[in-house]
Amino acid sequence: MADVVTTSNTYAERASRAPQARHGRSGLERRKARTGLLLVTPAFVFVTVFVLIPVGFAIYLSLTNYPLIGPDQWVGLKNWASVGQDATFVHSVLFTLEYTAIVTPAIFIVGYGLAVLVRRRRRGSTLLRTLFFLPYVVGLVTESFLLLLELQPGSGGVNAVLRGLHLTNGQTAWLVHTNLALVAVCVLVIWFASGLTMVLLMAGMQGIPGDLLEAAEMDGASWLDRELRVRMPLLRRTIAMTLIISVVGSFLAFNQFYILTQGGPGNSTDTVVMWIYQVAFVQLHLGRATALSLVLVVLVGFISFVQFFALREREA
Amino acid sequence: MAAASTMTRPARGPSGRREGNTARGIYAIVGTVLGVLFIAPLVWAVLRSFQTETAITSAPTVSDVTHLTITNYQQLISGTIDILHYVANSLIVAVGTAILTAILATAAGYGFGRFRFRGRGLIFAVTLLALMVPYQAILTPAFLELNFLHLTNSLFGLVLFYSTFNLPFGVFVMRNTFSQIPAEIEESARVDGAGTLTTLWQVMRPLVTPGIATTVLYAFLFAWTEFLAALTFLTQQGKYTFPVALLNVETGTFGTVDYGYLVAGAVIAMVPCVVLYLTLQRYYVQGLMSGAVKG
Amino acid sequence: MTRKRKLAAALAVAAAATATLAGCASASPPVNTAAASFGNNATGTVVFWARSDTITAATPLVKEFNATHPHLKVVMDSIQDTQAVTELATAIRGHAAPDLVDLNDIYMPIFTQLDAFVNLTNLVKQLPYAKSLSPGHLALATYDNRIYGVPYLADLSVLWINKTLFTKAGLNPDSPPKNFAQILADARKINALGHGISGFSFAGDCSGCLGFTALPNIWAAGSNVIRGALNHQTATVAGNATVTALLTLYRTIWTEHLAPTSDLTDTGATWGTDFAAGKVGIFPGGFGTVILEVPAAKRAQFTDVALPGPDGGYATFDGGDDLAIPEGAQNASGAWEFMKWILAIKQQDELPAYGYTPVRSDALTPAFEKANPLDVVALKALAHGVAPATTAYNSIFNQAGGPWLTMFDTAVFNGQVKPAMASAQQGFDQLLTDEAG
Repeated sequence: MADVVTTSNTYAERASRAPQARHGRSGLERRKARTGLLLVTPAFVFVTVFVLIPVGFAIYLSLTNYPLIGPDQWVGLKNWASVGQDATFVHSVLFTLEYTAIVTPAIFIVGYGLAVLVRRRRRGSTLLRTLFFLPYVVGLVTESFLLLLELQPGSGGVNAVLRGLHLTNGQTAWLVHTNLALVAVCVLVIWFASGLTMVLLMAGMQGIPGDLLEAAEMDGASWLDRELRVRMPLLRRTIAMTLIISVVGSFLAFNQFYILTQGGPGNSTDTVVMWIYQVAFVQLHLGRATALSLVLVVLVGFISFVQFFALREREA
Repeated sequence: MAAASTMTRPARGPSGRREGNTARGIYAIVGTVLGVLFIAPLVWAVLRSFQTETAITSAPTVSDVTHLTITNYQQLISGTIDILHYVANSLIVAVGTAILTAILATAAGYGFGRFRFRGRGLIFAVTLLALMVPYQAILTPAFLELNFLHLTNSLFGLVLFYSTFNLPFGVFVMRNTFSQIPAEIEESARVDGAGTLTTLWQVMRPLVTPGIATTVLYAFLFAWTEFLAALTFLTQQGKYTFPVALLNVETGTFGTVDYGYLVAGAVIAMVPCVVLYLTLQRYYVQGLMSGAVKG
Repeated sequence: MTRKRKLAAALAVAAAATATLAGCASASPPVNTAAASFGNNATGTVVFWARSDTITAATPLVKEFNATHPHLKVVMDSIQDTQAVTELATAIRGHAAPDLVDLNDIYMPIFTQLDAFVNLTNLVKQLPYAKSLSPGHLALATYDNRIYGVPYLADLSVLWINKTLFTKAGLNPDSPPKNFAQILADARKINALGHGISGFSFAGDCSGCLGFTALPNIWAAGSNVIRGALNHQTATVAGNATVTALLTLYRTIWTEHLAPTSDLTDTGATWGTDFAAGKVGIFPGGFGTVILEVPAAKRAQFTDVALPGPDGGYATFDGGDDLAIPEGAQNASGAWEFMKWILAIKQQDELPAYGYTPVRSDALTPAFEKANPLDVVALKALAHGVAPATTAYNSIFNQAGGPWLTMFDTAVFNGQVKPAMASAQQGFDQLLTDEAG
């Protein structure tokens, strides 16, 4: 253990000495490696048990007609073949895409605007930051229950306000009309998620060196120019992460639709996850439901990959 | 980038001039309007929770605002619904998830961030895999697996499940947090003879607290309002978490539906989240800054 | 461990776990129902899964039983309706089934056709009151002439009348409507009273409520929307004159504003509250819907009558629960003893207080009539009760997105009766074939 006693003994320096010990690592390094392994193993075990194994099991299940009781019946690729013919599933994918396409830009723009508003230390900016983030903290489930109440015709707060502004007669039955329900849910989600986007973007904005912006201003760039040409490109990574989180989250939407519309009227507001839940736990077709779930995993992976690719850092 | 001690930059433009009155004016107006818009629904909900059910389900009148009662809360808490039981269940799950995630993520983050060992890259990739697989998609096989392990209808099983899906984010944040700590600190502790755990606890803890706070907050919020997995895995009434209980209030499973209870229940649900957030607030954004932004 | 070996180990574990989970089915020990001691003086505990929707009846019953049976203890757990089938099936599969399960009767066919419950045919036939048991409930518990369960409690639908409003509108409260034409005429007269009074009320966005109350209108005329033996069923919606009459009735009620506008969005959350508040003249609902909303002292203004068909006749929806013993039960004898106790007249007589109706027609005694005057109609209708036996009931009739509610919506609120029925025919057929066992 002569190493430890030496005075200038930084990690880097010791690491640089490693090539000398070519035949096996030093005792300390082996112990360090073992400790490191030990530290990461619990997390790894959890992921294996609760993610990898279910995925493997899902693949198996999708190839069976898993009946409620009795031995499994192998059906090969029949469940997979029927995916394309499941009209409701296809519709739910399209609906979810439509919903995602609407809320993602909206959340981003609002979130960005909020970030611009509160990123400087002004009087009240801390309070505003808290207020804007509060809807995210309270949670979508609670807020969906509250909205359910306020969308009632006649007695709900939303209709009362609209009536007060003389925009409607206050009797709009939001949740039994597909497009109105969609509008209501979108507004809810934008209110809920902008705060998170704001926080994520702000964190990124802090890292932009002031001199770059100064230089741009010296060159006569307007505020808008500085924002779009200097800030945004430097925020690329943060923006990419924010958008991916937002898109994936919207694509996996379930809670707000389950509480507010139950997928109705008809199946018109069924999201992908809602339909899969129906197939699995109401229609009790567990085999088919897992095939649909795996399709969902692929879709989510594909969407994330496309986004990541499109938004990656370009080499100068 | 040094860890900024102030949250935001002072109100000076890049050229150092104090910003003009127009900018301040815009900020004041827009800020106030938006602030009110954002908080209004929540304040309104609190007000609603003090209205009687008949007031809630009929057209609004002035008396709705002046005649307030606490019957909704009384009934919820001491009546047949006993909402506090379900709030307690949710607290157990949320706190459990927060703690377990924090421990696992910190350990793993420490390991990934400051140790080198064979297979590190692969294991890290696998751990982040959970990010790629949405838990909603593996609900059915997970249900069957948990059933096999006798973990369905169990708050403990829910904690294990939730923690797993909060791990990718937590590990990501903690790894970045740990990577940023200068090696000298760890080295001097080692020179002083400290073992791994002591180093972690006494030396690094103050530096990684923001990261831990972020992880804890996210995990808690996730578990507190998570709905789908709770709906699927918990089948016996006594075990319901509060979102499932609220659903039952809304669909009338506990008897006739009372919208007053629903609103009061929702308001009760808001309290722990907001309290936790306000408590952790000063750590939280710092944690994000040091964690999520870096590669 | 090298990277490759680690990966191989992980995969091996995953494979082993998958194989174990997959191969979990095997036979359970058989139960001897012919033994003389079966169901008599049983001991031990009975694990009882009660349906959370009807827990208000189960809780006191269990308490009473435990208090009077020192050697046999019933341990109750409440199961949510939406999870009941999956939960029970998984439990049976995993050899963790309860001893007794209280199941929504419409779910019985799912299990009886899989022989997942203990065969109780002989035991049931030997009951002295076997002939008085609700035929509808019993039919749901029977498959291929084998009886797999017994009726437990009945949740029946009736047509509620507000006698006070009838009198006010110049109608005879003792002569309630017996066909669609009379319903319409009476509703119009009551509606004319104005001041927020409506002639009729229904939960327009509640699939289950509508199934519960409107299907009997169809059965009363001897018609049906589904026909055929289990797993070989087809829909009989398109071209069905009774269905047309039903949808037309509701459409007329809606266009003439004989029902409150809030009915459009009522998901069942406030079902019956307007009637209970005395603001509606005619209201098809459950017996329990009103009983639970109105305290006994205030019930004098209401009465009920059986749900009629377009031209007369009557029927009711045999809602409610059945009791069954799952295969693999550890204490089947104790379970049967508890079941017999529940079916005794004394216990059945307790049900109306919770909003339910006894499942034995011989419970209709003068004493019963005196104690529960409003439940007499339901109990009398028990013999005419129908409960649709199909494995697709939940998907067709209980889902917000199901074909039943969609048809109702399109026909009643949008006025397109024929297209709605054609669409429903397809929707029903699709689900019936899909969910055939």
